[in-house]
Formats: sequence, C-alpha cells, structure tokens
Amino acid sequence: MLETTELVKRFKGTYAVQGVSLYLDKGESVGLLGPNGAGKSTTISMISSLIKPTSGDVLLYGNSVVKNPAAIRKVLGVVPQEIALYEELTAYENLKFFGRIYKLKGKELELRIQEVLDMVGLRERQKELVRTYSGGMKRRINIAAALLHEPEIVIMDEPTVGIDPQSRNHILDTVRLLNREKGTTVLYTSHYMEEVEQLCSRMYIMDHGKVIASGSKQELKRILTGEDILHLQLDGPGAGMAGELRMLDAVLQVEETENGLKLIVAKQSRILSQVVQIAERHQVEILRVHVHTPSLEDVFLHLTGRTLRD
Amino acid sequence: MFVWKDLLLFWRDRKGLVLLLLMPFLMILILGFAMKGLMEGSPEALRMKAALVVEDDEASGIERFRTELRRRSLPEAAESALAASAEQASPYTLLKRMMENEEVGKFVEFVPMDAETAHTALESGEVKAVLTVPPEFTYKALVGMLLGEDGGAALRLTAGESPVHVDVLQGMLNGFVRSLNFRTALGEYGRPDAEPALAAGGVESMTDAKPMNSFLYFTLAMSVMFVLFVAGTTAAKAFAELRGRVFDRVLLADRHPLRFLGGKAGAAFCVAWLQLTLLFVLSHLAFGLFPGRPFSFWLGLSAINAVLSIGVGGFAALLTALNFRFRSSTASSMFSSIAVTVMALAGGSFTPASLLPDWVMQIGVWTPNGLAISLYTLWIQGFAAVDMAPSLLKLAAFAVLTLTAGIYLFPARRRVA
Amino acid sequence: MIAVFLAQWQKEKRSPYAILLFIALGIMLTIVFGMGAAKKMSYAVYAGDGLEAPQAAEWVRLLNREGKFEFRLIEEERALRDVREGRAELAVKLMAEDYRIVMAADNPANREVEELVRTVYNEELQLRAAAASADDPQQYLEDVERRLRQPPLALEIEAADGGEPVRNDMSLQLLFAFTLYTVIMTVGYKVNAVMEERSSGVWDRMILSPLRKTEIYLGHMGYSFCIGMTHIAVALALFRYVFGFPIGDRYGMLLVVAAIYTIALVAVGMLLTGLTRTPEQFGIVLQIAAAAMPLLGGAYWPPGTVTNPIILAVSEFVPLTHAMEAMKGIALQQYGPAELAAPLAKLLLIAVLCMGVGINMVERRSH
Repeated sequence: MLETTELVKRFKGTYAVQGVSLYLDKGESVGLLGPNGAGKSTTISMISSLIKPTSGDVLLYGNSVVKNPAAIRKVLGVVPQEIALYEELTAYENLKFFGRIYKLKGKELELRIQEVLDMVGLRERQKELVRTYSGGMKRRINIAAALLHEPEIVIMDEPTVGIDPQSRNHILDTVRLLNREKGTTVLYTSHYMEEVEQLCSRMYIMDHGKVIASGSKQELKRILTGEDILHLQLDGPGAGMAGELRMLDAVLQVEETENGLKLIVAKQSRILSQVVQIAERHQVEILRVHVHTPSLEDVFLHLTGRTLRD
Repeated sequence: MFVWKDLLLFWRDRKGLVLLLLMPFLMILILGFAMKGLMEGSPEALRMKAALVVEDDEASGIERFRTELRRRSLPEAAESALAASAEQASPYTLLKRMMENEEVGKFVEFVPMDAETAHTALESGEVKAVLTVPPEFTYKALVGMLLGEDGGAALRLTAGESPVHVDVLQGMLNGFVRSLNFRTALGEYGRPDAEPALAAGGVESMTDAKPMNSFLYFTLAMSVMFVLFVAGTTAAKAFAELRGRVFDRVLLADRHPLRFLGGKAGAAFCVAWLQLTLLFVLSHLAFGLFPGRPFSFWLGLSAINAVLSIGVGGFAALLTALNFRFRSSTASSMFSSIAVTVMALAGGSFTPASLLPDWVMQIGVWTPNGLAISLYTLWIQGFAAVDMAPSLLKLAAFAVLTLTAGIYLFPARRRVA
Repeated sequence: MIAVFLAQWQKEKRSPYAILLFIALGIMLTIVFGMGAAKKMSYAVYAGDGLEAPQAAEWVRLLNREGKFEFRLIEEERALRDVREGRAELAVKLMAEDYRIVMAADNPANREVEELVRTVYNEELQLRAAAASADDPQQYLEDVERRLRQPPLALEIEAADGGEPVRNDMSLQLLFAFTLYTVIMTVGYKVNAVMEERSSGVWDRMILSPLRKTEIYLGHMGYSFCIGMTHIAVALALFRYVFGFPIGDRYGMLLVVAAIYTIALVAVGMLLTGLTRTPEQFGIVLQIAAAAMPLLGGAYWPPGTVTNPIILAVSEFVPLTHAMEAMKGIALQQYGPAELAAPLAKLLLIAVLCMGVGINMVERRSH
C-alpha cells in the first residue's frame, strides 16, 4: 500500500538519505533499523510528508504523497521520537486537543480518548498533568495521541528510548495489539534489535543514508550463513597449535586471544574432533568451547562495521 | 574544583554570556546616546534654531511714543527724560541684546523670517519654535513701561513639537520678560542710574571631578543591574544539575552538599566580578570614561566590583537554595524577571536616583545595586574612604545575610537512599 | 483553529501568573514613575553660615512661591550626604544675602535651578535695597507690588495651529509607555508558544493532522492577540477607573489603537520566531527587544529628548513609537481619524512586513 522510490534528501550539501526504496504491505509490521544518524528519522519524515524529498517519491496506493500530502495524513499516525505533548496539560486534555485537530468531536472523541487510554494502560491517571508523569508514561501518552483517529498506518520513531521495562513491555504489547488485532500497518524504528525481532516480520537496515540490507529475520541472518565462530579457552599458550590448525581446510582464520584462540571456520565443517586431537598432541587442555552462530547484531556489525548503539 | 566546573559551564553557554556582556553594553550605548542631551544639559545637545518674525517697526514705535509724550504736554524735563529712556530701554533693543548674548547663542540661533516661511519651517521641524514680535509691540510696551498705564505688549512664542527645546526657549524668554517687568515695577526705567546690589551666588563643587556624563552613568547603572542576572542564571544552572542528577553524583561522591552551594556562590562571584570589570573596561575604551586615571583608581573600582560580586554570590546561594528546596526553578526565574526589575528601578538603574520619588529612593538605599552606584559615584568623584564606609558596610552585610540564608535554607542533609 | 486556541487557553488557565505579573509590573512602574513625574522636582536646601531659622524659612517661602520646583529645608549633613552619594543632584546653601549651589561635580544640567535661585535672590535683594533708599519704604513696596500686578510685557505661548499649546503630560506618557512596554512581554511570551511547540514536536503533529497551516498560525496568533488585548484593556481600565488617571473619555478609540498595536506585536513576535532557533533564545531576544523598544522610541522622556538621527530613524520601525503617538494624541490632543491615520498605517505596515518575513522564515526553517 505504501512505497518509496529512490528517496533522496540533501541538507546543505550533505546527503542525509540517498536513494532509499522500501515498501509496506497492508497489515504488515516492518522494522527500520540503523544506528544514530543513519537517516531513519529523515526517511520517516519524508514518508509522513513532513519534509519534501530532494528527489524520489512516496506512493500511497500508487498516488504521490509529495504532490498530495493530505491523502496520507488522513490514514497516518506518527509517534515522534520526542515527547510531542503539552506538559502543562493533563493527559486527557492533551488527547482532547489532538483528537480535535483530527476533527473528532463530542461522544466519538470521548470514546476514542478512553479507548486509546485503555490501550496504553493510563486510563486511571488521565487527569494528571503530563509534566508529573514518568518518562515511560509520557511515551505511552505520546503513542496514544497518534492513535486517536484510528490510522491505517502507524509510524513509530524510537518509541522505547530510555524508559523503564514495564512501560517498554506495555508499549510492545500495544504495538502487537495494533498490528495483530486491529490490522494496522506498522513501521517501527528502533535501535533495539530484539524489539524489532519480536515485533516485525520484515526489516530494513539503514546506514549512512542507504538501505544496506532488507528481508525477513531469516533472510538477513543468512548473510552470515557461511561461517561459524569458535572460541577455545585453553589452559596454556595456544601459539604452538595455531600453525597446525591453519593447515586445516575448513579453518579460515586463527587468532590468538587472551586465554586461548578464536577460529573462524566454514559452517557445518565438523571440525571439532580434529581440533581436539591437535590440542592433545600439543598437550594443551581445552577448558571450554564456544560455538557462536551469527546474530542479527553480528549481521549488523558485519554490514556497517559498527554496533547499533554507536 | 566546584567553582572551576561552574565557570566552565558559564563559558560554554555562549548565549548566556551574550546576555550578560553584550546586552548591557548595547543598553549603555543606546541609553548613553539617547539621554546625552537630557543628562548633560549641554548646549550642543539642545542646540536649536528658532524663527524670529518681526512685525513691528521699532523706530516708528519709538517715534509714536514720542508723539504721545508730546501730546500729553508733560513738563519739559520729564518729557525729555522719558524720551531718552524710550531710546535706551526700547524692549525690542533689549530683546535683541538678549538674543545676541553669548550664553543664549550657545543654545538658540534666531533666524529672521517672514511669518509664512516661519510657519513652514516650524511644520518641517527645521525650527523648534517661532518668536513673533507683533505689530505695535514697541509702542505698547513703552507705554506700559514708562507711563505705567494698563495694556502693555506681548511677545508670541509658537511652540513646535519638541517640549524639551521649547522649554529652554521659553525659560529664556520668561527670564527676559520677568526681568524687564521687575525693573519696571522697581521704577528703574524712570531713573536709569540705579545700580542694585546683587547676590554673588555661584556654584560650589565638592570635588573637582567632572559631572557624570550619560555614558558614565549608564555604565554604572546597567552594570549593577545586569550583574544581578548572574545570580539568577547561576541558580537556574544549579537547578538543571539537580534535574540532570549531577547533584546526586556529588552526594554519592560523599562531598558535603554545602560545597556544591559554595561552588555556586564562588562561581557567581567570579562571573559577576569579571562581568563588571569587563564592562567597565569596555565602556572606558568605547566612551573614554576615565581618562588619565591612575592605576590605583582602577584598583579601587575593582575592589568595589568585588564587594558587589560577593553580594551577587550571596544571592546566587540563596536562589540556589530556594530552587532546591522547592524543586523548581521558579525562585530564580522570578528573581530574574521581577525582582531584578524592581531593584533596578528603586536602585536608580533606569534613571538617576535623584529623579526618583523620595519613598522609592529610600527603598533604593537598601538594594545592592543602589548601594553599589553610590559607592562608584563616591569613588569616581574622589571622596574619601570615610564617606564610603556606610554604604560599603551595608553592602557587605547584605552579602553575609543572603549567604547565611542560603546555607540555612539549602536542603543540605538530603542524602540519597 | 479553535482547538489550537483552546489548548493555549487551557495552559493559561492553569498558570495565569505571567500575564498578571506583567500587568502588575506595568501598573507599578506607572505609579512609581508616573506619579513622580507629575510632581515637581524637589531639591534640598539648608541654612549655612549661621543663618537664623526664620530667615531661612523666608528664603524657602520665596523660592517655593515661584512654583517651579519644590525646595525642602533639611539638615546640612543629610543634604550633603545625598549629594555626595549621587542621590541628589544638588543642594542649596542659604545665606543671609547670598546662596551657593552645592554639587558633587559642577554639572551644567542644573542650570535651571541655579537660574531660579539667582533670580529670586537678586529680585529680593534689589527690592530690599530700593525700598531702603526710598523716602517711604512702605509706600514704595506697595507701589512695586501694584506695578508688578500689571506688567508691561508678557509672553504668549501657542501651538502651531494657533490653539492652546499642548502640555505634554509626563505621567500620562509614562502610563502609556509602561503599558505598551509590558504588553510586549505578554504577547511575546504567548507567541513563543509557536517555538515551544516546534521544539516539542507538537507542531509537527498538527502539520500531520487535517488542520490547515493557516489555521495553526491563526489559532496561535489569535490567542496571542486576545491575551495582549486583554492585558491593555485591563491595564487601561484599572488606570482610568481605579487609579483615576485622566486618560480621557475615548476609551474605545484607545482600544482600537491597542488592537492594531497588538497585531503589530504579534507580527514582531513571529519575526523573532523566524530569527531564533529555540524558545530560550527567543526569550532572551524578546527581553532585549522589549527593553530597547521604549528606549529607542524615546517613550520615557519628554518628546524631543532623543535627537540622535540614527536612533530617530530606527524608532520609526518600532511599533511602540507609533502606538504611543496615537494614544497620546487621543488622550491629550483630541486626535481624530485623520490624525490617527498616519501612525496606525505605519503600525499596520510594520505588522504586514514582520508577519510576512517572519512566517516565511519560520516555514523555511522547517526541517
């Protein structure tokens, strides 16, 4: 239903986003991952029509959002990264205001306010000033404000940054509820890998303004399918056996670590028994072996050369 | 250590620095220029042109007066004495003599014009007022002056739209009219030889200092006002540290919380002192405030700066304590927006204290900025330390009081669980 | 638009202190300075060189008879201390047949006082001398008295149009000046809500809603306008009905000027919004601008005080200058629509220019 074609945004000569193409199908939950400064927020701003792309377009059911922003604004709910609320008003008053600007009124507005308050679990405390809320509660109201007009698509920009676990779980539950029970399409931005793994069926990884990988969790992990990583903890120096290990076909790389060796080996190479033999031959005891299958984090590291939290 | 960190924070906050340094300087500049004329009363600032429209003919006026004398058939001697007086005391001649007076010439240049040109010039603001000598002026005035009859003559002053200038002109003309009338009343014009005894009068200056010009006054006034903002800013920054949990770290490091407060007061002191000193130096360079003053003079100035800065430090401590106690920055922002304005007003930062109503002035005597202006004034005009002692003591007492109140109110025993 | 307006109002209801404080500040400033300006300047005199109390009192009576200044007889020590510490411009030392003006430093600005004291002394001394040498002093004094009552020369003062010259009522001028000054703060802080919402993200939320941009702007500006108007209306009403200032009977006309002035202030606020990046920056710039405006427009001093051509030129761009002219004209000079046209047109021009440039910059600033 929503797709972007070669989105580019240039700010004063530097490219924040350079050629991002992605799509969202109806009812899908899609993650957008990337370290800070990767261009996620700029991409989201362009999708939601807040800023105009330097080139490229955003299409909603095939119609250009850039030319006609009103179309997407009706069906879109955006949860911004910052707490976009009036801190000096109560949660209820905030929701009333945001409902009103979406032309909701009277009973319907009242009903929707209570509904979204239920969704984020703050019905009991709606009459309190937002200023007095904890960070997590503010985030939940921040989400509620974007759901009042029952949007078909919800875009969330880092909705769980810096909050307590309870609020975080609540938010994740809300997203699941939206997506699975209400059939809302969700675009979820985060730099918490595990959240995206839990919530999203598909994801895009961005870095330096470009999408560098995309697909389902499995598809992405397959990028690093070729290798396994083997950590050997030894009771003595491993330098002696390193040479012999290198001779093995399946071993791609050997590296000395503080208390042993690190091997990068071809997947499913059944190499362990050979390693044990070599160790015995050099009278070195293997205290521990740790085989490590690459996680999404490793994929990320592999692709971008940095971790998500950089 | 605490002070150093706070000073760094000040240095990093460029916007705050601009507020503390550039804004007072800008105000000194604007106010200094704007108030130059009013404060100095100098001829240059008040210099104006006035149109002089003469619709009377002096000679024929005198001639007519003589004819009138003859018609009255007075005794010969009296008639010739009066005729001679008319010649000498012709009011228009006296008026011209007044206008040509050197003192008057410093302020007003009278330009002869006809009525219509004068009117246009007044409308355009080219002249500030029009002085009209109406027809029959000489004759009527002489009749009043010498024959003591009713009627008399009037000069007409048409005022433009600048009361300041019109006031000066009006003052001069009133003086002229008054003196002429008074001398008439004394009967002097009848006996021209009178030589009255006059008061010596004169001005006694307590010092040989020059009067404060507008730039010097506003340098003092604005500096002591803006230095107060340092206290509010410091307390606001301190509160940001409370909110940002930096203060908790200080407690966790097992530092006595009062050292934190002391850091605030110390930083406020340093910033205030630097601000004052920089403002004085800057203004001196820009406006030449203290030409040829010896080094010891500057030393004295900076000593007064220091005393005032201690007061600011005290304020900073008090406000920080209040902010912490109420866990909001209301105290410091109220101070910056309302209290500073009120103190500036009462202490004579907006207008010289001598222009304030008496009761406001009495309050102003107790504000730190008011006290400081007194001290600077005394020092600049070269008074002895004895004269400065009372104000100095008050200012010091002020600092001690605020500091003590700050320590007392600071929630010092607060410990993290 | 109404939603935007109401949200602002809800915030206001919860903490209406800012506007109340600014109104109070305006009234306080007016009372302190306005009432002071209405009073005569007062100077201290003291008896020097063994002048007897009755003689001193007689000189004070003669000085005060002039009616121009108020002279107070106080002890020498206090008079001199006030002069030393800059709380008094001068003190007059009275002697039997002479006087001295005592100043900390010789200041020509005090010429007027000296002139008056000199005149009073000289006239009195001349009169005494002349009376002493007259054959019948009593008769002579009576003659002088009589002649003084019908002076041969007078000075008439008229305005350019031939009518009564307008007396500039300083206390009224200051009343308007402080009201117009404090309302800059009130309106400014309301307009700052635009900046606050832009930085909090609420603005983007509104952009994404079906609200039109004009509605958002109008909601904010309309609200700022209403608060500004309320401020002026309340302040003027208080001055007129509670404090009894003679601001004339044309309260409605004053409100018309107030409305156009407030529009101009809202526009200036938008311009500042376009020029700054954060609400804090806006606050600082607003404080500077608000403080400078009355100074540039010469609002605190009698007209004509400011002669510097640069400052005069700049003051043409200051809304306060024109509002001041219009309000004073209404209260003091019976200005009609014809006379009000020029200042009001200038205000509207400033409003249109600032609004145009301001909104343009705000829009260009977006992302």
